[in-house]
Amino acid sequence: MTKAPSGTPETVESLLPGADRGPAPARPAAPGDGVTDPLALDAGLRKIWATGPGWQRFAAVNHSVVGVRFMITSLVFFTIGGILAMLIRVQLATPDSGFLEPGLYAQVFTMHGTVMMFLFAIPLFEGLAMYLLPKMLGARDMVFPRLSAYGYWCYLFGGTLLIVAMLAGAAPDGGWFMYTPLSSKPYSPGIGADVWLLGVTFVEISAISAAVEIMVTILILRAPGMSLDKMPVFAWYMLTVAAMMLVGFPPLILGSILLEAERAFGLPFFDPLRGGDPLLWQHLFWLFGHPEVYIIFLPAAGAISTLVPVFAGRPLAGYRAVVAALVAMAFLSFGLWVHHMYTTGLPHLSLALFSAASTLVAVPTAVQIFAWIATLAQRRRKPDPEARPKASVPMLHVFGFFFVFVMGGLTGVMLAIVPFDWQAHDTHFVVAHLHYVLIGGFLFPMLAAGYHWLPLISGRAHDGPAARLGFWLVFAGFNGTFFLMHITGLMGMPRRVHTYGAESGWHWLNLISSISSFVMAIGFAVIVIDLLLTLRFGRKAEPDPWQAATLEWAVPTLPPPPYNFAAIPRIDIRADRLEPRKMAPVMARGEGFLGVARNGWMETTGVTVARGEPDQIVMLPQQTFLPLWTAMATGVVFLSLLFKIYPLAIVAALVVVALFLRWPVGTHADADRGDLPAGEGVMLPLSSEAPVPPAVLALRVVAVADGALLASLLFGGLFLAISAPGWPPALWPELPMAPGVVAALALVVGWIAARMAVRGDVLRGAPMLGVALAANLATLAAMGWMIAALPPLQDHAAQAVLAAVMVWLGLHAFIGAVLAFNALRRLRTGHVSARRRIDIDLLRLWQAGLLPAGLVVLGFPVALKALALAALP
Amino acid sequence: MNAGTRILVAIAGGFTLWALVFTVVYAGHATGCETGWGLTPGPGGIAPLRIVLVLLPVTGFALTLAGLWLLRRGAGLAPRLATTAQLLTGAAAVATVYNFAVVGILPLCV
Repeated sequence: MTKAPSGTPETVESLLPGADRGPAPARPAAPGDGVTDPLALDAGLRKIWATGPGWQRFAAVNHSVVGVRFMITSLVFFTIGGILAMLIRVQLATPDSGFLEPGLYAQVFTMHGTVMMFLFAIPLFEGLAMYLLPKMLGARDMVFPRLSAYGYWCYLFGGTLLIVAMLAGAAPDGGWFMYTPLSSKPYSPGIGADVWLLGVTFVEISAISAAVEIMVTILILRAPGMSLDKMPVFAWYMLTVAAMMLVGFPPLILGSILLEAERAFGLPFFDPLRGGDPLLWQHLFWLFGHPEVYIIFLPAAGAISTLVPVFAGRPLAGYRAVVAALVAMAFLSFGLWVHHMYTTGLPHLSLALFSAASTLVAVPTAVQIFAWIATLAQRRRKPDPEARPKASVPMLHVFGFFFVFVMGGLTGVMLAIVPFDWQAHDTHFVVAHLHYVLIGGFLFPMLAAGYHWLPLISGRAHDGPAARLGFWLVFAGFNGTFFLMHITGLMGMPRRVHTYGAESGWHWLNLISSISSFVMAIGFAVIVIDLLLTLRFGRKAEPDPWQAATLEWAVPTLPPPPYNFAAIPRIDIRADRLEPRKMAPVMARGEGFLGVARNGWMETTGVTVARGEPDQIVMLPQQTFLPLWTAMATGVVFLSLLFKIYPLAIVAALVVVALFLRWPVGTHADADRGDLPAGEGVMLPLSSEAPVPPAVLALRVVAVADGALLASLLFGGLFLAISAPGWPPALWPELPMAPGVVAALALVVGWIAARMAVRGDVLRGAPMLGVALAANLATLAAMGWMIAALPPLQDHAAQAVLAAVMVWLGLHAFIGAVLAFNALRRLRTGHVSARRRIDIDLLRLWQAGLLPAGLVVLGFPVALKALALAALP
Repeated sequence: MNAGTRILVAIAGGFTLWALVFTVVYAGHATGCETGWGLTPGPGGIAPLRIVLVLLPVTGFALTLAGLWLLRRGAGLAPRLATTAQLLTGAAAVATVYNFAVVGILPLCV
């Protein structure tokens, strides 16, 4: 960052090199001095940022559009999941019911869980985060808008695949956690399990891409001056959640791939007759599944932490303790997964470790709850110190959250205690607990958040009494439905049973549960009708209607324009203590950073991670159909795998790669631009010329998820070696030495070549890039050689595991080759220079990570054999 | 170490140590029980596996306390972040004691 020459009266555009290209900017625009014509600035920015009409809607990448799409689509899936829940309750309302036959009932409860967990909860908070974060942080969009759009299409296609399969009678029926061997081929011979595995993996791609985007956005796409410790607390929550997703989702993706490989090709990862172990699936699933509960809860808690201070009229009590609590919760949540497996026969000492961690996680949860209560209990500072917190509609839902979630938390502590869990395991007590936690910890807060941010999203004020009726119906219906399940569970009613006898004594409790569930459904219908009426007939919302103190309310209009802010402010105080009503007109006049529409560029400020000092102008990509095409090609990959058309899957995967290579385009990166005026007298480089552009940070973030996947795979192999029956195999699958040596040398050469390519004159780096390309291809070939040398993979899990790790390395070498090829291509087309070397930097980073990971993979067969032999009885 | 990395280490360091100890203790316990390593009581009648399982959290606890001491001396963080980091590191130390106290008490492989 450099300072503009002092005392220069030039306008922003007059300082731009080649400013005569592109549309005429709004005028006058002097750096930091503001624009006198906000309307002209608004028109200029809208022309650049707005999504076009008609078919152009499919090219939308704007975070507001994509965020709202995520939320609406998730609510459609919620409706589907809710209808499935009603079917379950009708079936269980009376003993010996014949409403649903057993097979269909299994499909219904499996799809209910799957839809609610994967297609509703995660995408809803992703959509909310995508919509809110840029506005809260003072940015104009998420950092990778095309990735947002791609993630949305993947989610839509993957979710649709699951629903269409259900309507076609081919839904999965093994429960939402798909335990093996029930979900293995012999016991689930249809395509239902494949639909689950592939559909959920498709949706998980969306979740991982959202996690990467959320993390990088929070780290570097903030308003200048907004250091980490000044961030709004919602951003802390989402930063933590994104980190959890990066570590928590890969085990499920891996498990799904391994199970699909077993079902499609007979690789026996979970078959105990051939060296596999069904418990491996449970470990991989719950390594994801338990953090998942907190991944769902924490965004909702972030919303609570944001809106409780608004309605209390006081800043959040214990901001530092709350941040500490949520980070502690994130870590502890990864130490609980075995508390779903207390009945699998693990040694008592292991159970005790997980039981202790399970009770421990209640502490940071309680810290947050006490902080919210303290915030509400404090005397108000303004405008009236004697006034009490408002009992608004959002606060009603906050009350619902407190009551229901605390109940769920307490039963959670009960279930964390091993002897109690042994009694209640797989009963309706667990069903009651998980619904108290998830509906209490997610649905009520999300309803509160929905009503709170409704004026922002829709521009309409909400003041209908129907919302209160809806709340009370949902609250009463919910407790009537699920509280009684604690009792039926303690009376011994197992979960997932199709029916029960009249002599069980569970009849009346189930009948009341079912009637209450319909009361709850009517409550949701009232809320939906209320919201639709508000959207259609509601009066126009006034600016910052709740007198909130966060930046999203400082947008110039409600709903916000596609560019969010005409100028980006400097933030000097904590970003939940701002005065949006005063800031909005100042920013609308263009006073602040980047208060200009120039060159058709979509610009926003990038800052240093810790201190929030501006260090680059991040250039965001424009509207394009590429995310849609790429997601469609990705969909063809998954459909080809589902219908076992493997050559088509390979072709489609290559098309996906080719489409991804077309993403990084933009005329701004054609030539070196130097530092440009960014407003307030500050000169900044474009992101393509910045020392740490967003893509480089994103690759580091992706490496975390990738590392988690590799660690899960290695853990899986070692777990089988010591725990699975039939180890070691009668004939150990020895690997040839030569390809291992070739791969190791190629990894070292690739790393050295990539490093040398960025040293000195990068324009002369083509030979080194060629060497890196060749080294990666050599590694890929060596992996093919090693896999071909293995005995039939179907015979024993040992060779299947070895093949899996070799595939991991081969795939990463292939990606390295693609990156090297891309760098060469971009070098030839003039997109690389000493200042613009991001393509080569990405390759260098990739090779630097691949070298140690690859050497670990190459050494893994030795460790696996040693452990298997050591564990011989 | 740049400012971003320093913040990451200060905030996540304590619980990262807890997670490492958790992973190694759980994996080490499972491996020891399956392979039979360290189960025969050594000097003092204590099994080598139990000594290892106790030493791991003790080491983790000591390192966490050392981290807390460094943080209290000042790690160049903004005041709010410094408090948060100290709270987290202190909590990690308490969590280590609470979580792993059982490794010295319960039967090893039952």
